[in-house]
Amino acid sequence: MIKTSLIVVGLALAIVFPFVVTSPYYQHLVITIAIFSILLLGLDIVFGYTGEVSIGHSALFGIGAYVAGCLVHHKLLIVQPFGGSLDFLIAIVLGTVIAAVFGALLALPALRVTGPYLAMVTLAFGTIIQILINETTELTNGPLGITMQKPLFIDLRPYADTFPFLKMSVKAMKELEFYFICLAALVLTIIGVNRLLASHYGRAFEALRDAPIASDCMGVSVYKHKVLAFVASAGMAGLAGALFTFSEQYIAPNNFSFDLAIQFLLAVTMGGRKSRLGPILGAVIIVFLPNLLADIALFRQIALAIAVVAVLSGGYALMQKPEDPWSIIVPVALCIAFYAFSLFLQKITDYKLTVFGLMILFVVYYLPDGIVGFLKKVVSSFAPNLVRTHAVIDTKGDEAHIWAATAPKAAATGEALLDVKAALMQFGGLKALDNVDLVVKPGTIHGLIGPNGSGKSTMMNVLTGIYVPTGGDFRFDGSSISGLKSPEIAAKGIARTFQNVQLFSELTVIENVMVGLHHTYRSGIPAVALGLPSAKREEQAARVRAASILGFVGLAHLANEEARNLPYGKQRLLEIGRALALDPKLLLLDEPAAGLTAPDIKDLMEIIRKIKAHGITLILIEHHMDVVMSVCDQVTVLDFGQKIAEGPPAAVQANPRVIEAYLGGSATTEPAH
Amino acid sequence: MTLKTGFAALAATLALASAAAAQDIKIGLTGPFTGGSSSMGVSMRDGVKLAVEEINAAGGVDVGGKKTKITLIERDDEAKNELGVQIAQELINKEKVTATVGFINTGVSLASQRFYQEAEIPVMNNVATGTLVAKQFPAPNYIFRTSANDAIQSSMIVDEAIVRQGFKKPAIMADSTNYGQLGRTDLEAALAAKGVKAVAVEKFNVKDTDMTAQLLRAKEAGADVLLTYAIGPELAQLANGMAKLGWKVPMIGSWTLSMASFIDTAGANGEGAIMPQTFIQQPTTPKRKAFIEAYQKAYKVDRIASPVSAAQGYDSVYLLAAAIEQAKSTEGPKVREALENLGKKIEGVVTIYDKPFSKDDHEAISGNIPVMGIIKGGKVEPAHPEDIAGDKAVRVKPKA
Amino acid sequence: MFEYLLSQLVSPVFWQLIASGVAVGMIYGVIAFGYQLTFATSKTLNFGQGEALMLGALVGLTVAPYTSYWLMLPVVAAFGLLQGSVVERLGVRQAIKIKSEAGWIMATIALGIIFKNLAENIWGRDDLKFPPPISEKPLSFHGVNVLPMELVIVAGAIIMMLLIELFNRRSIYGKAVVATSNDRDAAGLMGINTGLVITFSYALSSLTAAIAGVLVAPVTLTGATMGSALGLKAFAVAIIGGLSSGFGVVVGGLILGITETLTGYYFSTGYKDVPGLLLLLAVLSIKPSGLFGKSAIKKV
Repeated sequence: MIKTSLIVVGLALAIVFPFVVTSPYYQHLVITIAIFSILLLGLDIVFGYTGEVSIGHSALFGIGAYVAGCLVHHKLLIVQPFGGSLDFLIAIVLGTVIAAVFGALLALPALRVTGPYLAMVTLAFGTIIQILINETTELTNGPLGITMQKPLFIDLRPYADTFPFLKMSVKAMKELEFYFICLAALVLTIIGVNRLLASHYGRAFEALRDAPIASDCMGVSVYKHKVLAFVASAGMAGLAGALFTFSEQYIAPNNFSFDLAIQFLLAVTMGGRKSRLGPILGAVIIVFLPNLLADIALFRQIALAIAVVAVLSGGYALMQKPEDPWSIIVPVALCIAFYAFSLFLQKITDYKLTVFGLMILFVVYYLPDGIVGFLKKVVSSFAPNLVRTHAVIDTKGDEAHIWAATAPKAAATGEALLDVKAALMQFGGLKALDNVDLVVKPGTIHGLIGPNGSGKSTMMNVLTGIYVPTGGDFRFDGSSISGLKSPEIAAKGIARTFQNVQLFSELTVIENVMVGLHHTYRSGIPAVALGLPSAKREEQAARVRAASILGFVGLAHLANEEARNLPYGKQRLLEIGRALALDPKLLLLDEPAAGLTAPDIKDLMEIIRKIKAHGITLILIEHHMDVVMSVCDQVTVLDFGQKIAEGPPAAVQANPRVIEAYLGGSATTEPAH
Repeated sequence: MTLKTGFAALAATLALASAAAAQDIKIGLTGPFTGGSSSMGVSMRDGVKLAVEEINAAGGVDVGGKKTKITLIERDDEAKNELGVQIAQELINKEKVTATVGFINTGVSLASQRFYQEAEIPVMNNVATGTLVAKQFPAPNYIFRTSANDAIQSSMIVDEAIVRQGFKKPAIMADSTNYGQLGRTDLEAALAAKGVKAVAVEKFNVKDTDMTAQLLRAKEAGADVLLTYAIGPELAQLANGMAKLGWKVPMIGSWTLSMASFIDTAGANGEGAIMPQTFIQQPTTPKRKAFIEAYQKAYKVDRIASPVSAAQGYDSVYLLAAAIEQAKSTEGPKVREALENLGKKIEGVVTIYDKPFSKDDHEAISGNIPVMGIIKGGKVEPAHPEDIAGDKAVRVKPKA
Repeated sequence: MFEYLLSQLVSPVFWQLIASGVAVGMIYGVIAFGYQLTFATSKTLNFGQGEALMLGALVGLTVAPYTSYWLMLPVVAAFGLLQGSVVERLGVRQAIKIKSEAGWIMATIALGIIFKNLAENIWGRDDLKFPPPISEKPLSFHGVNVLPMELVIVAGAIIMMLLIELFNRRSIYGKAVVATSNDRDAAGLMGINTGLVITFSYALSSLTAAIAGVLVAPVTLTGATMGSALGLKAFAVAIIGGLSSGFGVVVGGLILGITETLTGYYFSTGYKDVPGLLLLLAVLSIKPSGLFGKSAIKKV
């Protein structure tokens, strides 16, 4: 409620603003903020949500700007009083689309790499684009730049009597109209981004950042979704760029430099990642900062304000008797010192970059989640309900929606569901899998046991495409899966859990399951951003199924907790739930009972049996022998990468080679684990 | 710095607008004071401040019988176009300046001055040299200039190289910024006017450390002189690169060859470089002597980092002040008209300004004013002493 | 076409370009080496590496008149160690603690900005001349000219890298680096002070940058802005070579340096930087961890 009213008030203020503050200076500042906000909201998708650093956004911004600029420069559009609006629209749309295409061009080869490598790729891309803009004088007018005019959409001069409060000069009218266009573009962008991030795409972006391997194994291709995130982000940068051209009315190649890209990153970091307000606040900061740091009197006032806020909030925090008072005292003292520094600073222009640098350091140190993150924390200490980081999903599930509509085809033919021949996996000189054959019959639970380092998990990783096997033939459900990547294998119907739990830790429990349901969605990004009914239906259906699956694994009451806050045992159950969401034919469980208490293990065995009862075949890696012995139909034993025994549990248990290699002479003792 | 001044600053902070400042004539001062081209910006700023201090010390500007002080509103544009635009808007709409002086970078100038034009506020470009700068708008044009534009400079460079020294195969070396590339266009045009074509036209980026490829291309093309359009550090790399290749041809180029960063870092390799100068740090007239001494005293330096920027900055303030006095007003259109019809002769550092501007000519510096300077013993000296001998020391713009 | 290429191979111009490319490439390489040092221990980089180089050069310039060029080197080395430690303590440690990728990137950039601005105010805004310790007269080999200082750069860079490699391989510190690089948490449990190892790697990295600074300063220019462009080029070099390979940065540097001069001469000086960057993109699309980088086995 409060949030809605805040939004309404904010919007109302933005609408009234140009009529109250008629100074073109402030109007232009707000327009620039709106334009940068659009870009930064897009950058946040890449930087905040998928967690990749892009130094190429200034170039994408430049591409959008130059598409609009070149259209005007080469008189491909004629911006004129009436009818000019269509031309303007064409320029904006083309700017967005072409920047998105360049985004894809950059992302397709670039996103196989990550971290600093990706940062370098985007930097190289940005440099190349800047050189091209500078050198292709025929197209871009080179270093001289392009000059253009703002369009006038509706000439209100004949209606001067109707709108007595308007300035009737063409210039003021252009500025006013352009203000509302930028405001509208920003509002639409926010709505679109909100919808995108609340959709299965948004969950995929966060999933691939938290646990890329698990994400691939849930059929959510890390690569594909990074490219998508990049393309969406590039499109927004292009939109911002095209608007920027009309706003500045002059663009030149040096507008779109490396420095600008760094400023964009700083803006998102300072404002706060993974929020809508953060990037907008960041835009406000980078637009106002040069002014702030130019005027010593203004700078001192701001420094004083910061010090006062710091003292007040620090004082309040200290009264709460925190565990580590120094972590509060130090930043407050720094804020006061900063104010003192501002009083003694005489020539601010000479030291403004130092001040800027200090501000960034302060944010990195004491506000790691940016200013918005800090504010959220403060507000939530007063009113926890006001701040939500996740959408609360309270859809109720039922038994009817646990399982996929089409049950896996029960292969009564007796044909193997999984048929592995001579699997070989070599790491350097080490053979982690040495010519292992594995046949799993449909509808069974197949145990895979062996001492630590015997190759069980390697087999899992090879089966799910995480490792590319050195050799061997892998057939699943009648077709070869050799050489397929994890998402493709997941799509064929193999799901898994992980020995070291790999949940999407910052997503809620139900969202984790919904990532598993990614394959049930058909809507593309445009459908999601426009909020089409088909997209809404899909989302609703997925919620019902996710809630039902949570009910099945007994986590319904924890649906809206963040996954990282669950106890260990519950995390393991959640992994099973998430894997079930994939509607697998074959489910690989990697030590599901590890770390579980005795009653939990009982529940687990019940769940495993139920899964089998619904026609899903399972492979179970487990050290708890009682679990293996009681649920498995067939057991394969590995040792040093080789298969040493296979057969029904009882027979394997009695096999002297197994006892010697694995059980160490006593069939009933469990290895300490 | 004492605690007392700290508290004074605190008091000033709390006082939102000081009453005294409100009546002053506000003049915007903008240029790059940090970053790559800041040495020119800072010299220009210091020249401007010196002039303002002198005027204020003498009581201020006489606006319709009332002596009014000048307040400078100083803004660092970091040589960034978009920042220049923002500053222009701020100075116009928030600070409500009477006029603005400054602009080092042609790109920033081209991007920002449209706002002054729309707001009818005069701008004195005192360093930017792009030929387009002063004629971006038709009359009534609010953009004036006190520096020698690229067309003037390039024709001087070509005259010196082709006519005076008789070189036949010039190579053009320009940086890839709009300063270098606009200058290159002007150089090519000036060469064409003399019926000569450059044997090589090469480009380099700001902060490039190796010029071997560019120089080899010029050398292989048989160049006998390098015509340059770039700024100090890269020019020094060119001179040093030639020394490395064991190839020595004269460098003749735009005024930036006089930047301290070129002279110092090129050292012996930079000796003999020739460039057009509106002002050489030599006390050839009493006015120049006074200016140099005042500058040295105020900023505690012996050598001015960029004497041309400082002198042009200094003069731009005096021209503006004279126009305000003549207009008896701080209104933009009246100041512009006064500038276009200045009645009083003003003795500046660069020249004596006698009706420097007219309705259609906003360039205070004409082709005859700059002289060629040459680097000798780490200092800029007149290349042809006869050019400034006797009454030629002060060269005045011819009457239209 | 073939004959033209052949004729170029015997022309002194070609070899002059190669020689200059090698000199430039070694400058890039030695800076890139610093990136590799910190990446090995902490998977982080100092985006202010160019500024570390600049500070080294300027400190050297200030100290040199009181000593000699060669005596000034230990002072610069000590300064580099100190500066690197400061960067790590102020910029990186906190970010590593909270596992924030954005944190260390922003913090090292911020420190770079601060260092540059302070240098601008201390040493002025103009580039300065760094008096070279040896003759400035070029040496000529069959029409190919090189500056004596360029030879010093190449030799100095190689010696410094070899010394550090040796130190890393032979000393107990080196073993701690390998352990920290393989698994920081496990190394910590084994009693290795991983924080100290990381700090020291930053100190070493800035040391290489500072020494590189005084090596290259007589050839390039010396001033507050000298490091920014070099730092970025070196970053490209480190990525081409692979962040986990000391040998890679040398090869990467040579590739980039030579590509630049050859493109400038044979193609166009305006597009000089483009082929090197395209090459970088090509390398990464084939080998995502650089030419000599080890691709890590995914741990599941």
